[in-house]
Amino acid sequence: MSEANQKQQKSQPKSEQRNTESDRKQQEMDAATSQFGSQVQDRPKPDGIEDDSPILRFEDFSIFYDDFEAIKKLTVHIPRGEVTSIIGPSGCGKSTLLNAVNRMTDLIPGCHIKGKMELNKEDVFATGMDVIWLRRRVGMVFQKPNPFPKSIYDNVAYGPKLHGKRNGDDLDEIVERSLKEAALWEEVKDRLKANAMSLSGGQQQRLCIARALAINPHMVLLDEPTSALDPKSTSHIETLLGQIRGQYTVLIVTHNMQQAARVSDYTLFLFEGEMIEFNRTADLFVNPDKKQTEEYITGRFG
Amino acid sequence: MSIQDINPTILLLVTGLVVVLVGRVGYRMTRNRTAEIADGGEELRSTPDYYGWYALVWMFLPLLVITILVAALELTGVMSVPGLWVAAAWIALPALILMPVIRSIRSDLNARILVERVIYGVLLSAAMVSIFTTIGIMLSVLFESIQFFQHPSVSVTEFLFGTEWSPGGAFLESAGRGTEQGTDADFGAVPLFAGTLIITGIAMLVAVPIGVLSAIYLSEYASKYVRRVGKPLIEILAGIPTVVYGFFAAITVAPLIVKAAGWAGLEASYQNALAPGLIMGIMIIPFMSSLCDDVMSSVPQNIRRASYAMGATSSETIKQVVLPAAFPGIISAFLLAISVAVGETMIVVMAAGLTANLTANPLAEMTTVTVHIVDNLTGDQAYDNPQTLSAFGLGLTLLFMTLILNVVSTIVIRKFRMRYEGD
Amino acid sequence: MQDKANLKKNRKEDPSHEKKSPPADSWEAQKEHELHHLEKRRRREKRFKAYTLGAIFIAAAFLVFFLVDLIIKGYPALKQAEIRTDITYSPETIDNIDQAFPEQVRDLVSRAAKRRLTREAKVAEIRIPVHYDENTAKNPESAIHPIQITKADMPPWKQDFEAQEIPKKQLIELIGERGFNRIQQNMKADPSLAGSVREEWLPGSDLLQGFMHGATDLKKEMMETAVLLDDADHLQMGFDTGKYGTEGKTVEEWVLADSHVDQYLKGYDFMKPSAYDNPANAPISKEKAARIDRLHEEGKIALHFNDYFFLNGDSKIPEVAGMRAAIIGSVYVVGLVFLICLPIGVLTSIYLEEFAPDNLLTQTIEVNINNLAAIPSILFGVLGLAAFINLFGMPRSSVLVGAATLALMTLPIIIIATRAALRAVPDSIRRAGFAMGATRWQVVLHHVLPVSISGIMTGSIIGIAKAIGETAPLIIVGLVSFVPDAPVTPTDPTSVMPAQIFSWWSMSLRGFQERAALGILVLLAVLFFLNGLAVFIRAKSERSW
Repeated sequence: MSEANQKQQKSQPKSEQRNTESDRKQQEMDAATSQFGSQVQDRPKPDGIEDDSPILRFEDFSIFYDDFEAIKKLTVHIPRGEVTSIIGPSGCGKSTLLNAVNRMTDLIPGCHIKGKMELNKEDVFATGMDVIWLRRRVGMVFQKPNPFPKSIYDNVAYGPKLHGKRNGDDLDEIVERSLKEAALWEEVKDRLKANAMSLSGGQQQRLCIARALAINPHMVLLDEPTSALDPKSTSHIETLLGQIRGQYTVLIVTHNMQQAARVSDYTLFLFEGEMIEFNRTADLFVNPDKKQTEEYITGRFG
Repeated sequence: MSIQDINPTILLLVTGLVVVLVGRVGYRMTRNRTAEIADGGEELRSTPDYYGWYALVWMFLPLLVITILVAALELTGVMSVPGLWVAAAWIALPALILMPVIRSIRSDLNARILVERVIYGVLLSAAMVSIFTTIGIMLSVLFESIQFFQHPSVSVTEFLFGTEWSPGGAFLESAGRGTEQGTDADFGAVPLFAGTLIITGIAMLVAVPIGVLSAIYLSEYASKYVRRVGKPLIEILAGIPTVVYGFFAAITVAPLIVKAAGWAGLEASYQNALAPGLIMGIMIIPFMSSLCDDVMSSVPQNIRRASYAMGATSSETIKQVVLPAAFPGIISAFLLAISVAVGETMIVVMAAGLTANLTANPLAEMTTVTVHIVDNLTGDQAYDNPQTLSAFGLGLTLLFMTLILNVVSTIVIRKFRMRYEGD
Repeated sequence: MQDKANLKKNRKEDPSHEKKSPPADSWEAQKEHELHHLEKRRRREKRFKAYTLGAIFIAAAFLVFFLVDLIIKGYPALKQAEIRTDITYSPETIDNIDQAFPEQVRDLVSRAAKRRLTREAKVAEIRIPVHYDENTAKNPESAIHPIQITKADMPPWKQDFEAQEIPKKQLIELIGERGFNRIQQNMKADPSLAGSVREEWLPGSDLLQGFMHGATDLKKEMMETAVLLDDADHLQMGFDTGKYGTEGKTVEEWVLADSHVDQYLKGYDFMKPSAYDNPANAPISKEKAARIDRLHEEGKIALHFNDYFFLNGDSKIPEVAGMRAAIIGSVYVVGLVFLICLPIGVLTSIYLEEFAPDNLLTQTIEVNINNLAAIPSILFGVLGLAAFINLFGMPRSSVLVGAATLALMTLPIIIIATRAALRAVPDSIRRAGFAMGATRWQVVLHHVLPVSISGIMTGSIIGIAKAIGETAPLIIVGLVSFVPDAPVTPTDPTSVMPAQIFSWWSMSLRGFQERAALGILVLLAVLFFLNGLAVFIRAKSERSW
């Protein structure tokens, strides 16, 4: 973790210049309220909400595929500014749950929900909710790297451009910032116009992370982001997750328990669509409340 | 009544009957022989059926090859063999061959190898038919074209760059009266090329936007149900014969255009380029649409998901992600569509004109390469007349154009497919 | 334009909300701004979707317009004007057929109908000395004796002729039942004829009728005899007294009207005399138009179902031109195409999908088939002309040359469809076959072909449907010539449906246009049926692996 901090410090000076006074004020507030004071950043939290209310609030939340109940009456509060991982055996509904956060489940025919999910106190599935606006607030990274067949630059700038940023200088700045946050800048800064398909798999996945960060999301969703990558690229990505910790609220689905233990502050254990346990990662792994959790993390099933 | 007078149909029937009979007997006898061997306790290399087929191959295959050769000689007029001889050979020889074949059958003879080899040979020769077709088209067009270009009143440069097409004087010239009449035959094909190009251009202006947009609707927006209805609806347009389109263009659309032009104060010919162009465009819509649909569907779904997850609307996803990704495929479809338009014949034969006008006015009469191929090959001119031969020169140009378009489009689409192969 | 405006606006706005607005309250402000921006994007989205839907709509609207237009143009041809009139059949009128009709309809009746009447009222007759005796009534054949043809009987240009006897057997064959009936009748009517020899014109047998109407399929020696008798004035076409009596009779019948009458009755503007400033240009005069109207009101002229269209072959006279020969020709040609293409296409596909090694030859064949499918159809016509007609000497315009040309064009379509069908068979089926010790060929024959048969049939039907509608290559090999009769052997000249439509379209008489449009409807119906069949087969055999 300390190594990650050092790296983080290196990338700070440039962004510092952009800060206004109110930003700084806010940092102080952050520093006061954050449980991880040592990691408080010099940038505002992207979601702009300063209190400690949970970023995601599930109340009796269920997801159905036609008649099949994939998530059963989930009630849990995901804390703001932390990395939360969702673990569980295959088919337990972790990806479904993740996809529901930015309503990507809308694209799946036959998929519907019951109950309530609030993102930043707004009901995600309310009738008046604008899906496009919602998704613009949430960054998402998929299992397989899926860069657009465009240049590296255009990949990162895609989101901001969509959402109305056309100013070249601003875009340059966003692209550089996002690529740095995704720890890809050094590798690609000389060939931003190159096609993204020419990158290696690990680089492509980091590009996808940069692309997700470029829209200043309230929340970043990672759907098994390293399952298609080699160990080296995986460790790259875990390192960068450590770096953006605290700046973004991260929700990560993984079925690699070591990964969950390494990168997350909180862990949610799902089994057959039901939440078995939700706790601080350290507590859950060292001292699980439930027997099922223990059996799972000790590898007795799954 | 001499033996030569036998009705060929009867001869064919009798021979056929005998051949079937002899074949059956041969097959049975060979099988029986193999059964004997098997009963003797020896293990056969192949199943008995294969021995039967083995005998049939020996009995008839050499004969078949010889007959085909004889037929070829007959057709090309090198020599003539009476049909009676051939029939006699077919009746007598298989029976003669049968005996040594049956005697040659032993348990260690692997009949399957020969039979499978013959099957392979038959399959390969069937596959070669398409190669011969291509070679045939190329040779037939090429040979006559060479004759055309060697004709004293024709030159390649004039053909490719000349702007005057009036082959009418050609027959006078070939009668040695060309100069005295002062009617010189001109074979400058530029007006034909230009007409083809303009009509093709009009067709593309119709087909490309409608084809691409309808493909977008069908592949990105339409519900399953709408897609099930909409796709065949567009495909209907592809199933309509071109002669029907030609009739419609000439009888309905052209007069409408003349009327509309008159209403707008313009003068349009009844053989204007607009009518065939528009209708050809309609004809190409399904072609364009289904090719674009294919390439857009092969753009991987996860790229679309990434775009939606960024908060893009459908149209933004299509315009900024799907279309650019599918662009090479769309270009390839575009090239193929051009090649269809350039080679289309009936619509222009019926709705475009014959006069070679070099103009850019779509309301004026225009003519195309294919129109003149048809016109020159259906007239009552002698076959070796330069006017007739000019059809082959035009045919060669057409073949060349479409081949290039096809090859380029194949290369483009292959690159496109390779890019997404991993997904 | 709008994009540019947006760009400028955004540049102005960007700093204000990005940098100046304090992040603390930016949440609400930003949301509002973004929702506003989103509204614009939503509108753009709607517009774009409308464009794409519009494209489908244009295509569909065209299709509707197209079909409705063709139906409006072709539907009237389902009916044909006929005239109810007295027809006088008599020896006098039959050689001057106009006289057979009352004056008021004389110029309204179709030339074809007049020609048909002439033909029907006449019968081929043979002049022969009849030897009447007591036996004649029972055995009329005994009244016929061989006849001598001498030099004197022959026309001046055949004076190198040597006297010849026509044997009794041949004469009996030429006279036939009808002629002998006549002899018996004569005998009955006047028994005193017994013992006399009278030269009579006897109606001939069917064989003779056929010869006088130009049939050429007679036996060689009968043909020679008939020609000889004709030269010696022993044959003639005479009034058929057997049918109408010696005095003739008058009957009332519906006869086919002239095309002008038909077109006028159907109310086309271009037929109305009032549409022309100069009455001389009008196709029918005012008087004629009035007469047609009057007869129509009296029920003497009416539109009846046009069975001529479906029962007749092509004709130069529009009102009797029909599609029967072309339909039979199409079936014949396309049947041959199917017979040629299916085996070659299936064998080629089996080779490429199941047997071919991955080498240069295979790649060449594959590329070549794809290219062949994209070569303009007219070039196949050029190949047919150069190879089949000029090199192999196949008869121009024949069923054979048309089928061969179309087969080459259809082959790649069938190969591509068949290959797709074979490829859809999962490898597990093949592996199961191999594991049982089957050879490659047996696996294909027993396992792969049976499950892909519906795919192959679907592809073949679609290829055949394309062949049925194809015209351009057939023009080049001469299938668009005037062929009134349906083909019998593969070397007979033939027409096919699209070629028939094309040749009617190119006729200047208006009556043909209508028939071309009806021909199109028939052709489209056939294609619709075939495609429906393909869809049906596909739907019935749909399976998922």
